[in-house]
Amino acid sequence: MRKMKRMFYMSFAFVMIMSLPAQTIVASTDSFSNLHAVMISSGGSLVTAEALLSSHNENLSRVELTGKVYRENTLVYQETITSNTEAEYRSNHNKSYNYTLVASGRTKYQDGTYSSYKYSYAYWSASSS
Amino acid sequence: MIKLAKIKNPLVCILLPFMLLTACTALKKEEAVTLTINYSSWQLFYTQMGYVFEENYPHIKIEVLEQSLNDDTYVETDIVFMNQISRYDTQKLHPLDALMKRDSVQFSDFSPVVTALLKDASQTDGNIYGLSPYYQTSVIYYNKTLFNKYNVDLPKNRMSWAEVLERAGQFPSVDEQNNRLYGFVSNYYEHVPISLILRAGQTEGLSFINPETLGITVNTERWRTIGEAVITTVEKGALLTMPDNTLENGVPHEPIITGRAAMQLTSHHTAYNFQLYEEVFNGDAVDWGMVTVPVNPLLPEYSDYYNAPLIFGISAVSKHKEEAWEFIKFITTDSRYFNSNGEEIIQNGLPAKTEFIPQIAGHELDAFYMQKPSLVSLNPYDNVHYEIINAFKEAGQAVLDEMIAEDADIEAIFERLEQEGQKAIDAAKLKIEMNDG
Repeated sequence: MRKMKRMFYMSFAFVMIMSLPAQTIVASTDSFSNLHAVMISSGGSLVTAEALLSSHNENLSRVELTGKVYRENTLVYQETITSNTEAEYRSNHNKSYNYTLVASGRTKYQDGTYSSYKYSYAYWSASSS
Repeated sequence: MIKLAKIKNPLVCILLPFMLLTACTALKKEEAVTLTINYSSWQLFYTQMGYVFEENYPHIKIEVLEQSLNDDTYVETDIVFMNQISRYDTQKLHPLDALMKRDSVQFSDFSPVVTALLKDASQTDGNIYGLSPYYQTSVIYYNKTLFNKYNVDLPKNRMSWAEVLERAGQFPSVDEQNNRLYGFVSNYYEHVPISLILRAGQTEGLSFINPETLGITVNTERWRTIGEAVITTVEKGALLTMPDNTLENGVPHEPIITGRAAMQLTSHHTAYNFQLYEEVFNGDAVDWGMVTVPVNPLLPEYSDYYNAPLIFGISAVSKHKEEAWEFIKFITTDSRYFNSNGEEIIQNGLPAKTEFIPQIAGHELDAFYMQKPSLVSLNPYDNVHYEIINAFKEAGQAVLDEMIAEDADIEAIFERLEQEGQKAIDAAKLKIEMNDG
C-alpha cells in the first residue's frame, strides 16, 4: 500500500456547473451503426459470405468487424477488420455445403470507450445451390 | 346523388351524415403524404424504423434528407431529428402536449429516465417538444460464481468507485488453470488506468480541466485518493488495462460473458448477450447479476450514464403535423413497432416505455432505470476538443506506467501528472490551432 502523506491539500479542482442539461455525448451502444450479414451466390460453384458494418456516429473513432464462417459446426474462416467508418468482410466458399456466417461489430469512440457488440447472422443451405 | 327526402327509414337519415363524414375522413386519412426527416443515413433510418412504419401506414412515405450528425445546420423538415438534447430549439418545434392529450399518450407511461431527460430540455416553457423511442445506459455486471468462489462481498446498487475497485482487487489475476482473470473490466479500449481515474473523478463531481483556459488541476487530495484506488487495482493485476483481443471460438465476446471477469461495466445490451452466448455459441452459462454504475456518494440516486440518442419532434411550420405525429407516436408508443423490430431496438437502446423492455428470466432489470439522470454534465469531451483530452490521457498514461514501475509515491505521481499533462494539452492546442490555419 502506498503511503499517503497526512497533509492538508487545498483542492483547486475546478468543479464545472454548467447550465446545459446532462447528456453524455458518447454512448455505450452505437445507435448510428448498422451491421448486416448475408450469404449470396451469383452462380458458379461459390457462395460469398459478406458482412458490412458502418457507423454514422459523430464521436466515431473506428469500427471493428469480425466475420466468422462455419461449415456445419467447423470454423473454416475468420477475419477481423478495423476501419474508419465502414468495414467490409467477404470470403468465398464451396456452395455444396451448409454454412453459417456470424458477424460481430463494435464502435470505438473518440473518448477511448467502445460500444458493446452487435451481432448479425446469415445462413447458406447446400440445397439452395 | 342521394336525395335524403326519398329515404324513408329515419335511422338511415340519422346515420347517413355520420357515415358520409366517416367515409370522407377515412379518405382524407388515406391521402398519400410524403414527410421529410433529417437523419444521418436513409439506410439506417429505414432499417431502424422507416420500413416498419411504412408497412403500417402505407399512405405515408418518408423522405430522408441525409445530414451528418456533426452538421449543426438547421434543415427544414416535417419530422425534426435531434441526437442531443442540447440541440433542442423550441422556437422551431411544435409542442406535442395537445396531440398527446388527444391521443391519450401519457408522458407518465415513459420511463422516468426519459421523462427527466426530455423535461429538462423543455424547461423553458414546460411543454414537450420531442419524444424518444429509447434510451441508453450502462450497468455493472458481475459473476456470482466468482464472487462466491473467492469469498468477496457481492456488488450492490449505488456503490462508489472506491467500493467497486476494492472488490475488484480481491480477485487473483489468474485462476486455477492459469487463465487470465479480471476483477474489473471497464469500457475503455486505451489508456485505461488514467481514463478510469478521470471517469471516477467525473462521477464524484470533479473536473480536471478548465474548458476556458485549458489549465489542468489534478494534484489535489481528492484526485490522489481516486488515483490511489485505481493504481492499487492495476498493481494487483485486477484491472483489464490492454485491449482484450482474445477471440472465444473465433467471435469476440465481453470477458464477463465468457466468465473471465468478476465485474464489467458495459451497456444494457450485454444483458441480452449472455443468453445468446449460450444458445448460439454453445458457451458455458454464467451465473450473473447486475447493479447500477458507480455513483457519487453525495448524490447516490443520480447517474450520468443515461443518454437519449434519438429525439423526434415536429417542425412548427410543417404542413403535415398530423402525419408527423403519427410517426412519432408509432415509434415511441406502438407495440407493433416494438414487437416487429425488437431485436434491432434492443441493440440500440432500452424502450422508453418500460413495458416494452424485454424481460430476462431470473433477472431483475431495476439497475437499468432506478437512477435519476444527472442534471449537470462534467464530461470533459462536452466542452473541450477530444484531441486535447486524449493528449492529456496519452501523456498521463505514460507517467503512470513509468512511475508505477518505479514504485513512486502517489504525491510524486500526481505532481508529475499535472506537469506532463499540461505540457501535452498545450502542445495539442497549438497543433489544432496550426491545423486550423
